[in-house]
Amino acid sequence: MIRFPLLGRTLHADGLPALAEAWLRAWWDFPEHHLPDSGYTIEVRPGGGPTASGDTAAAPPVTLPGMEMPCRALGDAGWEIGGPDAGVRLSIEGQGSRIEGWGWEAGIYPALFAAISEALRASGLIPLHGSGIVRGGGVTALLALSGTGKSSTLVQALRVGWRPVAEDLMWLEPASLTVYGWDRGVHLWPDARARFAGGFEGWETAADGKLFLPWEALGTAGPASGRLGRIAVLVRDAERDSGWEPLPPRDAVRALWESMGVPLYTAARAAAAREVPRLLERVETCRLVLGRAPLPL
Amino acid sequence: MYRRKAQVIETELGGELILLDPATGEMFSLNPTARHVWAALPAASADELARQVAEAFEVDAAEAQADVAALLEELAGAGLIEVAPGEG
Repeated sequence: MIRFPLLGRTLHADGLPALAEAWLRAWWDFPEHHLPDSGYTIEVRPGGGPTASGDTAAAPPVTLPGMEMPCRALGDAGWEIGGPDAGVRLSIEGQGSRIEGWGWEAGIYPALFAAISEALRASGLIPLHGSGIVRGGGVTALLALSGTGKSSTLVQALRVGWRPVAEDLMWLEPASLTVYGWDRGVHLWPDARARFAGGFEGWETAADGKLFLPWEALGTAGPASGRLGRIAVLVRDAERDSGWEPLPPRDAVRALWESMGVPLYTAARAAAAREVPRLLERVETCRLVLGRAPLPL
Repeated sequence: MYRRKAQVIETELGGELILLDPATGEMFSLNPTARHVWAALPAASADELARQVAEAFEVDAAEAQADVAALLEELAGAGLIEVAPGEG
């Protein structure tokens, strides 16, 4: 059995294989982030397999890294991803969520990640997929589609005095606008390391071929947090000079949804839709063109 | 029966209603008439929607019917609404 605080919520797991417990610790246990206990609990436990019922029309297939799995809405109370061999079932209640999983040896972990993320969304938090950097005032979130250059921009920022908050994922507490970094270091492809990260030593090669450097090797204690002050959408354009420029509101809306992902759970989706305009009223938005000249960081 | 597609995301931004289809990444902004129709969905028929538009915008029935028919075709073509099988 394991139990640990998770951004003011409590994650509790019982009866899981050791591998699953280790996975939960590796991906979700960030003791660096201290939040008051909200009373919300996320329970993870073994389940018996998929239910026969469920509306696939209301919740279309979900593509997760490394797999595409059918998703079934279970009324307004949650959803189920997967099939007979592996999957998860998420049940959302007022002050907690229950996640039942099956097929622990068959690679359910992307689905489990999605379920825990959805439970956190249902509890009021918003995921922001992007890098976070801070220097002085508020945190700047660097948002972009995968492959645009978030991590290499992060490393370039670190070289000129910014501090890291996150490389790829932050959790946003919308009332306070606090973002919590959810990574343990930086991942770069070898060519990006050669171009942008000279001088940083201690890289390890990860399973996907990327190089990994923990925050500690970058001179920071671990994942950080801070108040979100600016959202910068990265755009790569080799024909133009690098620079900051205004971001049309509609582009900001698109970038935010791309960064947050679309919740499968209806209530979480409605909550996210309410938060997008509120966020855009309270946070500066801009575009950062990754072009010819050095970045104006 | 005309109804919104479940996956379409709505965002209210400064008085403008923006729709985003996450499947295609396409965004749409609704004019006042379209917004009125969108808010009235689900609706049993185009006639019912046209009656509401005629009342709300003080236009004659024929004009409202033509506007609503064109709008529903546009919304359906954009993948934002669907017609329930055997209805509409």
